[in-house]
Amino acid sequence: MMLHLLKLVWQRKSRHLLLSLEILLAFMVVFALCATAGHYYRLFHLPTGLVHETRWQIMIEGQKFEELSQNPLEQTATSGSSAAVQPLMAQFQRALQQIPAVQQVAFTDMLLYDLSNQSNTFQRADTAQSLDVNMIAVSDDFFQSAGLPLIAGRGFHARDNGAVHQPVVIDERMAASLFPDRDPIGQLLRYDEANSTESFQVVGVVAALRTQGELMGLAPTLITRLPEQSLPTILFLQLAPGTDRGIEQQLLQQLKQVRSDWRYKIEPLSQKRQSMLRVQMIPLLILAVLSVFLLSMVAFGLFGVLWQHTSQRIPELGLRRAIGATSTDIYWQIIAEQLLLNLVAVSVGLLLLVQLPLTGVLGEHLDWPLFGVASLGAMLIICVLSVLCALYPAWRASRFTPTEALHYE
Amino acid sequence: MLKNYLLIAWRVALQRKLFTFINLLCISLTLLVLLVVTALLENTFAPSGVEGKSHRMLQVLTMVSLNKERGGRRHSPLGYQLITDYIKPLPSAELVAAVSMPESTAVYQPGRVTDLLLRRADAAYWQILDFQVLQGRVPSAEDVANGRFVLVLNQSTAKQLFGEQQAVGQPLNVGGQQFEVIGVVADVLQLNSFSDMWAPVTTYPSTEYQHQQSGQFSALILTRSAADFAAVRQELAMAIQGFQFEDPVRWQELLLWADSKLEFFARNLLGNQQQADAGAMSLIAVISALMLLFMLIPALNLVNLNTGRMLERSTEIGVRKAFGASRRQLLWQFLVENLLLCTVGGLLGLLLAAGALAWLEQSGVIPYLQVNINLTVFGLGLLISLVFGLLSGVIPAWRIAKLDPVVALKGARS
Repeated sequence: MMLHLLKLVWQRKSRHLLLSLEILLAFMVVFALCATAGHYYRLFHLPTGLVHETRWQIMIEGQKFEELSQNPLEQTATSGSSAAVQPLMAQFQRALQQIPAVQQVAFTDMLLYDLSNQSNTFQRADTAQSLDVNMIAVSDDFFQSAGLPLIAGRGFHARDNGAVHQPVVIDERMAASLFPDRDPIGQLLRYDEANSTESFQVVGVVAALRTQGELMGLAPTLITRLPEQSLPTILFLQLAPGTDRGIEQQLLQQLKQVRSDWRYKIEPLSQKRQSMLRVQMIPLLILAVLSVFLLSMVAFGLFGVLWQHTSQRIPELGLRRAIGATSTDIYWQIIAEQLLLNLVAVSVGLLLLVQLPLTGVLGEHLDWPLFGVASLGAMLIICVLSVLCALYPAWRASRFTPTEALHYE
Repeated sequence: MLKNYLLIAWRVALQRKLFTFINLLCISLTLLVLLVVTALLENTFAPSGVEGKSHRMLQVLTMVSLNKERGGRRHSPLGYQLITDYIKPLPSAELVAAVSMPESTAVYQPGRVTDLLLRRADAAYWQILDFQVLQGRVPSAEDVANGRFVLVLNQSTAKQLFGEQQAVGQPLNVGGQQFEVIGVVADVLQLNSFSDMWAPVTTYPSTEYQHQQSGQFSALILTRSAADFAAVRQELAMAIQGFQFEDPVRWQELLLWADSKLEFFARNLLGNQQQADAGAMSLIAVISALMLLFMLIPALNLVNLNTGRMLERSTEIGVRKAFGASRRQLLWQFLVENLLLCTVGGLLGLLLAAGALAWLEQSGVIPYLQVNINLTVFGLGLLISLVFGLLSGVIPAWRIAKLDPVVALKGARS
């Protein structure tokens, strides 16, 4: 049976060649659309490590960084008597926690859900293997207030003051690429620059932290500790659920008590997330609209050609019925032939497309799982579409009496 | 004679309704996709209207701060101070505007709160971009200098907030500040003009923004002509040499790239943030390759449809030849037939594209989209479909017409 079908396909080879070429192209386009959609769907649903509900951000403006350069001197001079001057970060923390609705206070050196981004190149101290990573510095309480769970090791605490190696927390992605062979906890890292003497020790691992939010690309991330004496730039608050923007006045009052010469910009994280998403979604929306148009073009094209292709064979099918084939036989013949044709086109397409993840030109944008899902999806769409397009004329053909079918023009 | 051919073509088209319908649909859908794609691409890379001066405009949206000792990098939007101190004084620039990124801001009205995007801009912003003012006016240099709390809305936002009421002159509480609406502009979706509301930069609650090196701003540089781009870039590179960061321990070197629209998108899509070359050529190459690949499908489709149809019609050709039609006449017949199909399909495609774009603008699937059909692209698309239609329709017909009528009558397939 199969051999017979192959012979049928082969007899119309020049015609079928053109047809399979079109199916091949359609398959590649549908694959590209599936892969893009899959990529963004996955990106959107992967953990960001951020909880935006009831979290607020306060940007502090007007600091003089000369204060910072004085601080270390001051600190070394007074390291014996720690009670002499309380660090500003602690002062802010105390002042804000007097408001009952404030549950947690932490600090970062970078706005979250913002376009800014920091990165650096780090290397493993033992093998000197280096890696580009995104960076953010956070205070000890950040992990609790952000709701960022550690999946291994620990967060930062006050005992890290004066540690020989600066403690860092890395994400799973960085752990997997730098320490695939061992437990990352306790491993040493250093800057890629040759003249740098600072060294870092991994103390914990988090699942992920994508500071720009849901649509930020995946990249290894490293979290460093914001020393207690540093000049605060961004405050990160967790407030009681249901707190509205009326609390801003209260927050401002407390903040001004600590430093009245600085300015404060208070913003709920959900709102910042909303503006980020609205701006970032526009190109994706445009892309989605274009894909709908493209898909409809591909579908109608295939439909037209296959319909015509099958209609031309109505006399032949009539002949088969005249010599005793049932209409079910006709259906199966048409479906099998169509699938055979698809198989040829799709396998050639897969052979071409598999080069993408093999050579890794698109990197992580197209890895093996995504390639699998996208090719399966594209295959399914093409097969269903082409079988449907062929079935309708086959159904019409099977309803003709053999005499009518033989005379069909 | 032509009338005769047209009549035959019409009859054939009616007789084979299915084929005619599918063929028309394919041509018009292809043109529709082509027109929609180019309209969107044009709106992005070479917009007309609000950002119509894009061909002589450069923009700086990202500053790259480098740490030489530890090798750190930071990408962030610019601060206002950086723009006023380093970009505004560039001698080759005709005008330089500073505008903040759209920020989600709460608008308080009696009984309801709406979250909308607000941009704060200086006076030059309104000169560089040609907003289409529907009502009232846009902020003047005086408004900005005196820090007046004036607000411009776009059409959709004005309707959303005030319904059918006249928006101009209404007071509005935006993020806790009391503004007066002075103007309504048409909706626009372009890189630097996308927002719901605009206010003068001087209406920030504090003047701290004036002292920021990195912040929420981007700079638009209008030059006298595109020929000045190189000069502006050179001057910018000179100006930021030895730039002093306020936090010199963390950052020591600054990189700023003044990009055209195309370069901006290329830089961001390809991630070339740390080199002068944005990779515009690679982006063009990628886009053209994709367009070619996508257009190959309808071309192949047309060829498939037509060749199949012609083979089927070999009996008809045989009959016509047997009754004395010359090859020339047959050729003319198929030429006219294909021309007619392409023209009708093309016009249908144009109508469909206009309808689809109007629907896109109306439905708000893509917010604030305003695009125009490019007639040059339409002509080009029509020409391409004509070429493929003729190649695939006339060549097989020509070959069949060469055959002996007897062979043709029996069917050229066998």
